[in-house]
Amino acid sequence: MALARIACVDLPALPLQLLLRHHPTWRSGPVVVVDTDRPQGIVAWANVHARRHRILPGMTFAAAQSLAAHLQAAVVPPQDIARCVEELHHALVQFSPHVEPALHEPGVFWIDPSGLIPLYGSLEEWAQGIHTALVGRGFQACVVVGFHRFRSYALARCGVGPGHRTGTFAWVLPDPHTESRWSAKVPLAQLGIDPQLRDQLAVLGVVSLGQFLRLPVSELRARFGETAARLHHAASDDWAPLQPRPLEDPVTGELQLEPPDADHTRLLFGLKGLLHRLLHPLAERSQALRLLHLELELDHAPRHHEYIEPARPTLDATMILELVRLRLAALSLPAAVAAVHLELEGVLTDSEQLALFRTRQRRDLEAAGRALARLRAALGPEAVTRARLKPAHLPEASFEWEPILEARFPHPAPNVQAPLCRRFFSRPIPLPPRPRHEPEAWLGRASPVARLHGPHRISGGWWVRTVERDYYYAETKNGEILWIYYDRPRRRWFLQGVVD
Amino acid sequence: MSSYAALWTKSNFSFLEGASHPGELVEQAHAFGLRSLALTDRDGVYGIVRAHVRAKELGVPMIYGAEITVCPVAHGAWIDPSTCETTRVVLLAQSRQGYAQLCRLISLGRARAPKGSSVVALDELQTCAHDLVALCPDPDLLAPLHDAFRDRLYALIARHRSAPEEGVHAALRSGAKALDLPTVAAVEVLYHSPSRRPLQDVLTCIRHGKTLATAGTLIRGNAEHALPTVHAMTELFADDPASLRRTLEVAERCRFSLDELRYRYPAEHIPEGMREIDWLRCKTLEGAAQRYDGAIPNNVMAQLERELELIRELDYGGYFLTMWEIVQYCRREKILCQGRGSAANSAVCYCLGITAIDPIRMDLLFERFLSRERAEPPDIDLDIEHQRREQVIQWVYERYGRKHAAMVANVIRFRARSSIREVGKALGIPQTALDRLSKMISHYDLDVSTELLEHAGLDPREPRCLHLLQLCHEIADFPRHLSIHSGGFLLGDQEIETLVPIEPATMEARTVIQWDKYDVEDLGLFKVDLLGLGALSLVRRCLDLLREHEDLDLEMSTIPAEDPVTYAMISRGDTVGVFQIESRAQMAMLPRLQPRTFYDLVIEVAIVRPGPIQGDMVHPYLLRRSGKEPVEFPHPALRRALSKTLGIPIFQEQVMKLAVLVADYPPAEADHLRRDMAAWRSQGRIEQHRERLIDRMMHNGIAREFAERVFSQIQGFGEYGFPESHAASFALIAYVTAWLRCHHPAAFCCALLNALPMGFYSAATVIEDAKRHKVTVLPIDITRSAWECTLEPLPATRELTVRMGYAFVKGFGERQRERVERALVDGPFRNAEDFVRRTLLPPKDLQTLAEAGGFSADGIDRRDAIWALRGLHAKVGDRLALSTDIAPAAEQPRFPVLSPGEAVLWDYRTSMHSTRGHPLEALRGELRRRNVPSAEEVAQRRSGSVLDYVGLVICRQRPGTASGVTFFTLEDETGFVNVVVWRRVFEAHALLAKTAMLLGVHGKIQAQDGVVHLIAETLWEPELRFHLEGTHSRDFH
Repeated sequence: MALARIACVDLPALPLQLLLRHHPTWRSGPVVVVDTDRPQGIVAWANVHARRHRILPGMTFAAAQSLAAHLQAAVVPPQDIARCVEELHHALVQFSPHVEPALHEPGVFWIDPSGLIPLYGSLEEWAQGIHTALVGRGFQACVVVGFHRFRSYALARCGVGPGHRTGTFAWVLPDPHTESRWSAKVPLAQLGIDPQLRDQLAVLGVVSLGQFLRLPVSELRARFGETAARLHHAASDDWAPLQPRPLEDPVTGELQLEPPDADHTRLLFGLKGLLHRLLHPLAERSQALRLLHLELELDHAPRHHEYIEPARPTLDATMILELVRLRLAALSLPAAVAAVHLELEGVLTDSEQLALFRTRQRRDLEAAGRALARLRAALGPEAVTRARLKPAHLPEASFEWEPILEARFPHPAPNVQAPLCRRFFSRPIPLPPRPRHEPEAWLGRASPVARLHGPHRISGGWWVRTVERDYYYAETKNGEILWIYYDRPRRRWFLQGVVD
Repeated sequence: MSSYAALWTKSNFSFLEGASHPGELVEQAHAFGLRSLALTDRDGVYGIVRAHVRAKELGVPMIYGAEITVCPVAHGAWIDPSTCETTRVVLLAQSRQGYAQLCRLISLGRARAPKGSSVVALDELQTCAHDLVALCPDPDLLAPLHDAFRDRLYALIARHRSAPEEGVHAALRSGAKALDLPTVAAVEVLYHSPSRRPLQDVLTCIRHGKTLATAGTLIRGNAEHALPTVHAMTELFADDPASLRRTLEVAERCRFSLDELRYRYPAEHIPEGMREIDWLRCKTLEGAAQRYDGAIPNNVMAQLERELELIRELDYGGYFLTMWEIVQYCRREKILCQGRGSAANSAVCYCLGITAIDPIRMDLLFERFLSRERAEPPDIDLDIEHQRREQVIQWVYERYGRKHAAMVANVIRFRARSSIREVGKALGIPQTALDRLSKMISHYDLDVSTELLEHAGLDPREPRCLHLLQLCHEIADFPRHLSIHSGGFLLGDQEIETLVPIEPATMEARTVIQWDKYDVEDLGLFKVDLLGLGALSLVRRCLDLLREHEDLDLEMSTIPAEDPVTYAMISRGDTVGVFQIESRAQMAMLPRLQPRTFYDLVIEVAIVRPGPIQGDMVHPYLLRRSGKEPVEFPHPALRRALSKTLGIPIFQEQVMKLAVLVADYPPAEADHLRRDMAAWRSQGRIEQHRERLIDRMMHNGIAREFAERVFSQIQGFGEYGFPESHAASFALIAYVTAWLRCHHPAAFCCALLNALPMGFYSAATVIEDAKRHKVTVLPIDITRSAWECTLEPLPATRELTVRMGYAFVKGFGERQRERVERALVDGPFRNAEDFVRRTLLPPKDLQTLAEAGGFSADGIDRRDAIWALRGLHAKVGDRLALSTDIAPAAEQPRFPVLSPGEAVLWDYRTSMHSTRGHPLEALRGELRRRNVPSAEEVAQRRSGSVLDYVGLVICRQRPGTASGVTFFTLEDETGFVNVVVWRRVFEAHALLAKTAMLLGVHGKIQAQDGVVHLIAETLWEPELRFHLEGTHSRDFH
């Protein structure tokens, strides 16, 4: 009977590879990835040029920089690394449905090659295929097909093995014995093990995996703790099954319209049945719809995409259709629709039974949420926003618009006197130059200025663009209060808003 | 309106808020013709002395006050202003009493808030209101302060053309009306000119840890915080001229001047019926009798009388008695101390035991220390053994009381490096780029140049970089925060906090005043300097060891003087660990100067300094000393002043005399020159003397070349020039340490190791040097070692050996010390199990100690010991007896045995030294095969021979006076080799030169007067099986 196989793919120093992909011109010099953008930030990865300058992971950036004055450094955010791992996972599932990314070592993956050899001809070609695919995406990688999860990982990490001599980075180990023999030579320093344990073992002269495995595990545990014992177990003959990330296809469906139809009502009618059918498998996954991707294939025109998001994850087809209807109503498509592709993105959701017992409140937040969703559907996602105050001196910088995702009850501040309300113009309106003797129609309004109150000076922004404004409240004879300013650098008057 | 008084002005001593120096504000006020200026820094009076000095020069009337942070709601023993609501009020001193109240109030606030902040409670403000004028910008505070301040309370209408403040002003006016209070006009002045607005924004960002982009409303909304002209102020308060006029009324009320501060030195406890000066005379004569064996020579007596008379006349008796008391305390506690600096010019100081140099015998000039014309307090610096200085400091606090004694502050200022980092951060420039830039400039640079920006990879044309350049230039020398002077005390007869606020220092049990030594000096206050000196710790420890192990009872004063054997050792440059003459440069000078007498040593100490080197005085002196050049004087008038140094000015006072005698400086101006030399970090102060000095010297017939050299020397003296008396004090300690090293090398080595860190060399170098002097140094052994190094007689010969202590194990600190010493109370450790059980040290410490060889006395390999100790530790909680034997059991895994070379490297890794050998010993065979000589052999080579050498880098030094030359000291098992690396060679091998611990040098020997240098042509990395992670060198100081 053929022995079970496992492959390990290692993309060494993945964050550094990502950084160099982003800055290809840096490749020829010393580069490091640091954990924070500070002189005391710790070097997490260093490229070969940096290592030549004796820069090693663990140093502070300041120390590293003293060794190489032109050292380039940057932080690679964890989300970028996670996104890349995701991308690599997608690439690797082309070669096997069973792919397990390492939890704490970005760039290490285990893959189950079983059942795929007939497709590729041989394990070697399969491994080479993976390597070629990864190199094609701009990554350096090493693929080792072995028999033991940890040993194949060890060989992939350190690059020693039969393939090393020939300069290939996709190796297939012929038998467990060879794997065992080669992996015994792997330096512990090259494995992603706890650095403290690694250093303590090195002091004892235990520097390779083989030497480590020769230590009695119970004595090892007593002296070096559970981490060492776990490592010992992992590297010994114990079997650790692969834990591939489950694959989950999005729920998709398609509606063909023959002949192409521009009528939204008929389109909605067609979508109704399709949506009902698609919500069913989503519900079976204990999921509710979070996002609906609507792809409209137009007759002799580019495809059109719309994304519709309900107020909260839902399986309510009627409500979703209503949102689709609103969105379609707001669209003016250049051609008739030939086909509609729906993709439903779900999210795990709690049972909605509790909703049955929920007391209906006088002010129904859910209803408000639905209303906002309708508005978003009708006018686009940016249409529903609210102002958030920001600490700034310039009026237009003292607030920003942020999208509202859910409705909330208001929390008015107690005892606030009703103030006068200043209404902004989205852009200040230029005013004519102020004549020397202030003729009545200076502000371009019907009523002349009776009184000017000010100036209140705002100046700053010298580090980007100097702003200097003298603000006044201009009271007109008909009681109107205008909020105007004189822009010193531009030597112009502007109407910022009105007060009422 | 003809003028007004600026009543709310904050200088850059409102740390990270004000954006102008106090002097700039005063100058601007003078230029604008303001009636007076109130300096009201935030919770402090840090800047008032500087403002006062400048205002006196310009004739600007000053008002002294502060902006006080008040917590109006609750208060307690501790308030953190970041967690409670605070407001502020401006207080101005009407009188001396008001000023004292202000200082008390600030002291209160500082004592109860975290470092750098201050908060006073409302009731404290109410009780300290006497003779203070309160300007209140907070309407809610008017009523609570009304009763306390009455007609001295004003509602402060501070206008900055900002919309939100209008509401506050309306409330202030209505509150003032209700309480029948006057209003007064002001602008919260943060800078003297609107051009400083960007800097003020940046300072605000630095203070709050924000960038300009994220600071929001933390930075001010406009540039209306500059000192207004009279016209601008009149226009600003056109609708309220009464408030503006009232500024003059306030100024009229605040008549207090800093000149009114009447300082009295604390009166000493003197016997009933005696005057201070009588008691001083009594103690001086007692001391003189001891110093001169009961027969005080006439000339000494005459000098003492002259000095005592001047001390009486100037009323400085108390100060001398204080110093005497401190010295007496040190004697009682067996703490070595010795006065340094100009105090050594005083026979009274010598007789009181404050200094150890006889000024009469040395022909030192008393006037350099104290003179009627100068009329400034004497400055006595007392060196105290560094490991016990804190004990003396705490005794001073106890002796005078915390209300009468506080330490002098040291103002930490922005230098180029700190400005780049902090200003750049505020501008949002990546910190890694700023770090790169800041590393390219030296520590004390004040400015950043465009070229540097380019070198650091930044584009100087980019707006952010332009701002960086401009702002770094402006912020240079700005106060950053307050620190503590290394040992300066202000003692006062009255409570110090009535003179200046006192605040807690970061260091526990220390308090610090808000003025630095320059302020104290400017006001003529007395400062007592208690400085730490490692060499005195070394001497004390060494004398103790001699008493204990060699039954030799010596004191510094009883060490045999003028010992030829000691001078022979010194003349060979064999001075590792000898105070002041152990550096590479000193070692290279000693064989040339060949000191044979104490005065030679005084010159040796003073000559290897930036002053004489920069003035190119070293070689002429050596030539004259060796008779190769005749002794001539640049001017006949200088014969007496320069005769002791063969016509070459070497000491600071000789240069001063030169200025007086041949550059026509009157004594007072010469003193000004001395002070400008001392303030070397303030650029430009010394430069203003250049033309005058050189021209006048030339006018008096002195050659231009000599005059220019003298000026260069003056510039060099700015950086640590030595007066003769100071050099003599240091030379005395140098002689004592040299004698101890020469005659008692084991005790000296042991004491030196225990006094580390001090001096130039690491423990490894000290040990290697001791070994070369036939001292046996034994490794750490848990059954024999103590925490510190000890002397251990060899059983057979009774020869004294040095046993290394636990303190040298890397990572062993106070926690480990406490456990080991507590366990050692019950006697020495019997074995490993005993050690593990009694110390209960964690496995990490046990492993380090085992790696250092502490458990290997019985020949057990260190790896086996580590395995066994970890096992022992895992079972230390068991009640059963553990195995006392850590020898490897039969079933134990076999670990590779350490080779002797590895053992040395392990020693270095875990304790930064090895008693077992030098790392290069193991490589000597291989080096011989490659024809690489040892240091001993290098010293024998002829000048001009070319060779390769390999050694351990123990020192890299690039003195500012050496035009880019870097000096390396390399070491092997036979000694040192001094390597000279020219800039070109250094740059060609920069990486190696900066990082290599083991360095290969190809170069040419330069030997002269017994001094051998290897002039590097190339540097190379020896390809040897060698890894030196434990070694370290002293670099680029």
